[in-house]
Amino acid sequence: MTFLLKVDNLKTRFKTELGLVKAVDGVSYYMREGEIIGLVGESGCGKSVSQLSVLQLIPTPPGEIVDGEVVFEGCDLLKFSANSPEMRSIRGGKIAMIFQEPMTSLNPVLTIGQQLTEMMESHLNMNREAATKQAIELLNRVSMPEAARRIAAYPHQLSGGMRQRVMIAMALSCNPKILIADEPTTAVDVTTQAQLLELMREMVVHFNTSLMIVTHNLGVVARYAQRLYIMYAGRIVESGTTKDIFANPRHPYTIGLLASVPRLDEPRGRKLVPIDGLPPTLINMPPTCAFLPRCAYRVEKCQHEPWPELKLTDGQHYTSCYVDTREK
Amino acid sequence: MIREGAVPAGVMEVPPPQSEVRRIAKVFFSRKVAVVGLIIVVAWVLAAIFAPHFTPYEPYKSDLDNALLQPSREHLLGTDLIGRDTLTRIIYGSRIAFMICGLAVGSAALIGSALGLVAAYYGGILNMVIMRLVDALMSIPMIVKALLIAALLGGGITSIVLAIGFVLTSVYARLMHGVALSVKERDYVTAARATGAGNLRIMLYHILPNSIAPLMVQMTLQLGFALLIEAAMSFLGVGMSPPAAAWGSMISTGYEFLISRPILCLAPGLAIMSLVFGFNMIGDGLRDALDPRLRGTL
Repeated sequence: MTFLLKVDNLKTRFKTELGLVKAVDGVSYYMREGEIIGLVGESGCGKSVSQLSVLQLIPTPPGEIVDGEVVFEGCDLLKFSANSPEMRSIRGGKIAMIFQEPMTSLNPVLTIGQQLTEMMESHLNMNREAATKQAIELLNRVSMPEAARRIAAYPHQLSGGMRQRVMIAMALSCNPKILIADEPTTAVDVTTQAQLLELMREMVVHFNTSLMIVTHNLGVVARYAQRLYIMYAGRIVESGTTKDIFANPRHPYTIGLLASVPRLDEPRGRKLVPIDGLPPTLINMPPTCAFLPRCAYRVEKCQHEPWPELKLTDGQHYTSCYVDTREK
Repeated sequence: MIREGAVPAGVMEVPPPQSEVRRIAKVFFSRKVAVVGLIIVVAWVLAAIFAPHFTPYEPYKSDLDNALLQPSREHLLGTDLIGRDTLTRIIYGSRIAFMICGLAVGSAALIGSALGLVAAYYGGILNMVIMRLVDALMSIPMIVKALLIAALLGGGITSIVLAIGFVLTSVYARLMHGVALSVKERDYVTAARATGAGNLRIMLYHILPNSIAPLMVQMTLQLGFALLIEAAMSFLGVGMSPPAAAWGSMISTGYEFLISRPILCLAPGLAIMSLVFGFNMIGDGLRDALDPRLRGTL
């Protein structure tokens, strides 16, 4: 099978005064064309850093990508230096990214039109007029009311939801192969969230783009993603189809996550079960499983053995745990 | 669930029609002090442009018959040692003042902010070298630096501009460095990088415009400061050479007659004071107007 993007054993570290932070510690995943996948994990588990690493947007120093491969359309992106023309043509042109905070991700002194056209002019060699026309079209497509007028608006004149629409339009303006949405709906209210996700799905279908949704919100991916990667402390601990993972979670962390959120298809009145303890700080981690201190399924073996590799359990379902959680 | 054709987010909200420029102007003009400053500076600018229309006398032509006259109807501020009309020389002096201040502050702002921006953006060794150099230069008193450079380059307007410009450069480098350091960590800079923007583009389109406000305030304040340095240099004899109607050198030559004709020192001194005052008042007003914390309050 050919993959559009294949990330293999990606490792990103930050050197800090307190010690080495292994923010991303051997993450592997793949994306097929036209697919929507989800990367789920708590704040600080390395989801965003892993995506920034793919585009080499990690501030270096203190950050550094120490190992791994990011194969996109047959070539390893990590072979290019971060500021090379190859990398720059991929950023925005082939792989676009939408950021978490629409409030701060747009330059406050440029109009949204300027920011939209800037990208098309540089990636698609369009002239100003053609780019402006295209920008209005895009804004219309993302349901921006009065697009032709709004193109002259500054970001502070738009609401959060509208700004995120602009971000989506901008990300799709050069017809990228992959769209990475880094917590695209965290900063907007729930109804707007749903609209934006719906919009992204429509856009992805329309432009035949693959979409990576990075989120801590299981509800977001449950509806839209075909496959999921669950991340904990810099590693992927479980992966599989969304259906599989929601129906039969295998890793104790995933089980904990699912038990801690309410579901519509369960009897009313169930108590939500939080996961005990706190996520680990990623500084100077022990070699054992990072979830061990919080794990309800731990066995003797976990204390001594290193963090288990991802193993295939059945079908497409992978998990990294010594314990077969189905037995409990 | 969202129905098909539901109202997209944000439609209900009416965007404020007020533009940023208009808001800044509104704040600026609501400050009385700033308006007074603007009036003073504009008056001087008009005087400089239309100097020949304001006075029947020549600023450089001597008239020994009318030397050292007291103020009268013909000569409102009297005449100097070789009979040149003081008011005329002050009016023409404003040309020199504006030219020197403008060029010096402009070039200092351009070069200084470029240095600070590059240092902050690239960081590392480049940052170390540039900023330590700037620190070292700042440790020498300004007037000493200016005098040294002007003395080395010889007199004339170019050397004064260079001297003052050099002195002020480190201020802009420091200021820009500080602002750019914080701006470069903003989300929209990362977002711009994620769209494939190159270093130059990010610096010029994303960091610079967002760092410009404190720079502009500093520039107006520095105009007054440049004027003072220029006057001091001219007074000390390393500035404009004698026939030129520089305010500083007028004070310096009038100094000999401080007791008998105090007006010869006082008049150019007041001219310097009023223009410096004007620049500073504008600077204060601009600082209020450009303060991002006030955004949306007026």
